[in-house]
Amino acid sequence: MELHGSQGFKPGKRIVVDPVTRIEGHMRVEVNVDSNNVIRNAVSSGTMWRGIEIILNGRDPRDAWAFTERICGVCTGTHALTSVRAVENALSIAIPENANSIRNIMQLCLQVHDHLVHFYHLHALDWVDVMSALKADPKATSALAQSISSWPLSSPGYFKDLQIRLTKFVESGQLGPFKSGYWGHAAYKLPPEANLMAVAHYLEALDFQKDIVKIHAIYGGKNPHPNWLVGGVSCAINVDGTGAVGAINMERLNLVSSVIDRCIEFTEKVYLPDIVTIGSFYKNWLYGGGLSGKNVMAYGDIPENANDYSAKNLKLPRGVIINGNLNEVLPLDHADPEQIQEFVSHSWYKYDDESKGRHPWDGITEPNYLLGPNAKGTKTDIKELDEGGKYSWIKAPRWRGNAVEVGPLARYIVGCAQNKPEFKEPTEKLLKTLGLPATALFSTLGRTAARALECEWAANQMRYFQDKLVARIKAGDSSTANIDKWEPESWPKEARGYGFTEAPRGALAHWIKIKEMKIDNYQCVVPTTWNGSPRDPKGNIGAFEAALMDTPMAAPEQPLEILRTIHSFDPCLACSTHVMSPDGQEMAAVRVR
Amino acid sequence: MGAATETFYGVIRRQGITRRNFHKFCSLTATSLGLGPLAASRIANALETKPRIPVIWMHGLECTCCSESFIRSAHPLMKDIVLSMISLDYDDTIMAAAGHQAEAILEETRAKYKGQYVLAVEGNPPLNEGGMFCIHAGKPFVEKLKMMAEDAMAVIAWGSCAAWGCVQAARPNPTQATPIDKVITNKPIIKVPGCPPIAEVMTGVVTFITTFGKPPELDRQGRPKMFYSQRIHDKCYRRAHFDAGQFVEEWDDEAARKGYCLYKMGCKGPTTYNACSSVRWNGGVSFPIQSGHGCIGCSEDGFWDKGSFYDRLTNIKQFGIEKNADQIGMVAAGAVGAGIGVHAAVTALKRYAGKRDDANRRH
Amino acid sequence: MMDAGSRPAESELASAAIALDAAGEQAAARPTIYVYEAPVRTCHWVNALSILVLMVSGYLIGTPPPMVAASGNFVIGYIRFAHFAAAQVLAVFFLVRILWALFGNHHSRQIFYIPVHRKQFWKDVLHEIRWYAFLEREPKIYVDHNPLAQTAIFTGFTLLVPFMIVTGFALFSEGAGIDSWQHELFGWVFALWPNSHDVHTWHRLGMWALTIFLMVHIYAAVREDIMSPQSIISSMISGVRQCRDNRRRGAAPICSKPRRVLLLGIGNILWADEGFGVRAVEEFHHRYAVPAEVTILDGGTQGLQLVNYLQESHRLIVFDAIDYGLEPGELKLVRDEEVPRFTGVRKMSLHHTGFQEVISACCLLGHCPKHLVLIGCQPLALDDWGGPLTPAVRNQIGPAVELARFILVEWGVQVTPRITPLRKSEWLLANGIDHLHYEMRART
Repeated sequence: MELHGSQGFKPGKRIVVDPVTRIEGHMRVEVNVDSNNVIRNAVSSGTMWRGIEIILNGRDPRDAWAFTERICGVCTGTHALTSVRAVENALSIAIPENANSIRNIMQLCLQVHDHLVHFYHLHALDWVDVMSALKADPKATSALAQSISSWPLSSPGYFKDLQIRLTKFVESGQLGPFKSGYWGHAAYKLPPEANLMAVAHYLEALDFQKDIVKIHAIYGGKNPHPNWLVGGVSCAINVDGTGAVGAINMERLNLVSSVIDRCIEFTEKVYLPDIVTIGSFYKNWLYGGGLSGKNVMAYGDIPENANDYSAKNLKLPRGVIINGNLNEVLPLDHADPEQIQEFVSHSWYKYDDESKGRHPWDGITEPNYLLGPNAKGTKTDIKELDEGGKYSWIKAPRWRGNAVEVGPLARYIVGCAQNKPEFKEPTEKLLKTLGLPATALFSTLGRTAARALECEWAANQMRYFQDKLVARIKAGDSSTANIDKWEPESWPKEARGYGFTEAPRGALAHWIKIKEMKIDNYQCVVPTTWNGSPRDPKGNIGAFEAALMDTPMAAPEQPLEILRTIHSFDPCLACSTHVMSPDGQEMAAVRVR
Repeated sequence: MGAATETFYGVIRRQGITRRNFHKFCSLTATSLGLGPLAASRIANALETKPRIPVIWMHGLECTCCSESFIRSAHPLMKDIVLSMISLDYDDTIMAAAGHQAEAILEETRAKYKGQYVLAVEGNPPLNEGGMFCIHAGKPFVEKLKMMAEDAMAVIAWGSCAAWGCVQAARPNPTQATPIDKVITNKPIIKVPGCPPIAEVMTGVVTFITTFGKPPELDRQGRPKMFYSQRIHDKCYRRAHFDAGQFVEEWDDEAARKGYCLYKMGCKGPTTYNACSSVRWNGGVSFPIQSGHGCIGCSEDGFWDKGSFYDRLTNIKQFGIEKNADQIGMVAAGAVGAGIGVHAAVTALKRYAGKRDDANRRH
Repeated sequence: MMDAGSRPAESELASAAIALDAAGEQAAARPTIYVYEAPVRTCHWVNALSILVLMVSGYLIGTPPPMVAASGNFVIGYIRFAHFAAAQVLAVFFLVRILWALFGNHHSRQIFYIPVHRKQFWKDVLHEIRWYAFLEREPKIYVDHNPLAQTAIFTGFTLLVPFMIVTGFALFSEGAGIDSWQHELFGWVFALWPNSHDVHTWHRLGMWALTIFLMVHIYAAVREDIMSPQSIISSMISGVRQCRDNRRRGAAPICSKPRRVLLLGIGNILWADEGFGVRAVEEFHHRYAVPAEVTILDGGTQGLQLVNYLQESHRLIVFDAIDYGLEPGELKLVRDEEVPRFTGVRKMSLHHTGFQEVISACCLLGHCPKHLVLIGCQPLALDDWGGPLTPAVRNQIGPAVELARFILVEWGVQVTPRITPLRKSEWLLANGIDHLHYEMRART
């Protein structure tokens, strides 16, 4: 991995963005730009930490999913799913097929919801100039909309009414969340009509997203934070027996089914066409590739059949690509101490020998909040970080010493490299439509597009697993939970295991050690830990930092380009948690698959 | 709702009242109130331009599920809230601006709307490590929080994080995450707990304020009575099964498939105050119990530390024991019972021996 | 108040010969004293039953029984109803019990305090513990609860029941709603424990604590009923404490040489209730015959001249009118170190000597009775020159006598009821100043 020679780039202007908004959690970015306003140095800092793993110690493993689910309310459910898998792995509990289908549906539902909301409500304002929409011609907007999709909300009158409402809103002088946006920034490339259409879709998506999660409400009771269960799922199925109204019955299944149909429709008729539109106007803005063209990693997820987590049974791709070698997808092993290691040389933690990484099993997490010697400001009023020292609450995980990127783009790159048609064909089709070469994928735009493609894939997979569930019920199997090992007395004295998922943002895994029926140790390594990682002892930078490099800024005081690229990762800082032990004696065995 | 909650002027114009008549109305009002001729135009201006109430939404240590829940509101819709009912001038999660531009909005709001804005807080401040477990613009979040609370009209504590502490404050609370009412002590705080709270409850509280111009009535714990004065148990649709003694005993048993009461599966409905069993979730589609899992009590103080979610009886942590009341009680009663048994046996033996001596002595 | 202690009529003495019980004793001839008033007994049994219902129903509410297959039941509903109904009953009758303690005799107040500052109390507690540890041959005899029982009931019942009532009503108010009177009165509990699940937990623990108390209480009551001379269980039904001699039979003597016992009545028969002590000892002599080692003495107003008698005695029982601060006519028994506290006198002249001085003098001389018992009666009137005992005090003569008998039995002294009345020459007070002729004739 090459060193970025511009680290600690002293000349040039230092730009600080804190808080980074439209993310989950708290994050700070600092960059140095040269005389042409091109970013030559990037520093990404995780600015929050909660310590949930230590809170889990001593508790009942069957409760762990509820705690870990609260690691993040945006990717709600993915940590819970990872957790129940970890416990089931440790205790050798097999879940029924229906539970596997339902869990897949819930995870896929999260993917659809999270990607959709991310694009429109967290990312879109980096591509779309809301104020420019006020100047659009509603008729032309309608023509544009109808040319790219058969989505019915596309009449001139519709866009006109929206424009009127928006105008009144802006004229009130109270711009709310649009206040002080970078409107008129030179980096915005969409014409007013595209902006108006995008704003319309922003609002439609805002309305629609609340309906997507009704699937969680039906199977899991509520969203955010639906309920899960070690051994299966807690929603019993009773389609036409006595008391079916008290369980998952025909009406419930129909509701799920209709939501799935609407998801497929919305992604195909609104989200994807918008991506194409944006892609077509931004096709020359191919910055932000970072590590994606070099090192990517995916764990795989969505098991076809229950209880089999091997690569061949997982519908999302699994593997590692290093140095951009697409011909070789490397296998990964979470137990191998040489593969995954965490470094803290530039993180606010302490090891005895910080030149070495530690495999999570041998992990130590002892907080050490210190600023480097060249930092400006004080410990409680940071003006500028010193990236030569410690600068983030996120540790630096590395795979065989390499920094990697995880997320939808990583999954799609691995999937394409593995020649899986369900990933390769849509990708190639999109590239063709935009007239872009394959290398265009390794960019902020590519990352954004991959997210949309994955959203469409996920929506259709929901249909697949819902149909599978119904078919199985039809064949006579309504079981949803395996209670053989529900009672702690049936567990061995000591056990350990791990669980993994592909969260919307990337590869996620939990490790658990159980002793005397209680959690003895619990570790999470989360997508944003990989992506948001700071430097390691060799000076390798993390995915966020790499993606920012060499990006030109049209107006450095208005950091739109920084936001656009950072947002393409869909950062989730609450997720990038680590163990803290106040006395430094807890062994934080973070084990990453 | 939507456009109808725009200005009074907008409303009446849409109802076909001419601008001329509108000004007549303002003059008449000014006269009848004895305010003098200039007041008429001032009244007109106010009715035309009454601003939407500014809301500053800050995030401490949290997971963002409160923001996510808020946008799930089916009625009113999020877009109508943001476009027509309030002025959400600052919210990390959805605002366009970042960095300096975002921070400037905080300063501007404090100056321009001093004493008139609502501060909504999601998450809470950690106090350890100088507060730097949650850094906001290079400084501890707790500092920013206190600063914005100073000039707020009222404070809303969203969710169990802001109201009680929630998961990061669960034992042993390594960051010293602190509920906001321990940090903001001089402002009225409306607690809307839940992990997260129901969307329509959240928007219900906000629209109550915008409609009635005052905070809703609160109970002794600072929660709006309108949503938090009854327990899940009081309105649960499975209550009849509880009273009849019909319980789920194991996951996916016959009783589960008939939707019987989840009391024995650890449901905390009887001690949880929230609107889940009546308003329900996600547009009234379902709620945890309806989908087969017991309530975990997520709107109650310290619910993470009351023992397993699947136990009916919760844990005692005092005296260093982690057992539930029955375990302690049965062990203690058993020990006492055993002691009584031994004591009785010894007593009987001694008495028998005494009687025998009696008899011997008498002869 | 039951007048169990007036001078036995001839017929009663005769009938005493008839009733022999299982212990081979004459039932009517046993020392008896009225201790538990009717309201106390009523409350005891009503509360006991209520608590039993509460415990069983409470346990089932927290741990419901296995489901009954048929629907249309109201199983938990009925269990809860039983719980709430019994709770209301307990609340009312516990309140009644507290109120009665304000109006009843001093026995009715006993369970509401522990006299922590009294050393003698703790000595007696220790003695009782040793009795249970099989380290003491004989328990001490108490008219009401023994000190260990008093401690146990205070902590395990008197403190615990209000805790359960308060937490219980707070829990009930959750269902009754925040506008209910239960919430008005008891909602403050949730200021202590905002998460009401904690209140449930403490309420449940309280149930276990009560269970343990009940187990020990019932065991001890049954055991002492069998093992000790005093009646226990029947006392809480009839209100009367009886004392059996049976355990003395065959028991090894405490020491080879019987120690001297002095039964003394002091006071001035000229001053109305002041004469109580003398009248009591007089009556004792009428009723009971005692062995040679017991001296029955009318000490009158002899003051320091009694020192000699005290010096010779190992044990002392003294009757006297005492200002305890109780209701007139209330009897109270005080032992050992406590006795001097009550036998001081408000000095009105240098000639006044309290019995306290007598005891002190003995101690100074080095020979003080080892065991002191004071049976005192609260006087109504002391300043009626020449007047008789007031009725309330007069009615306590009998009980006082029986009380003395209790003590003598505890000390292993054989006390025999007189079947043949004393001849006039044998009366304690002669020359027409005996009670009958001096006072009673005047009444008629």
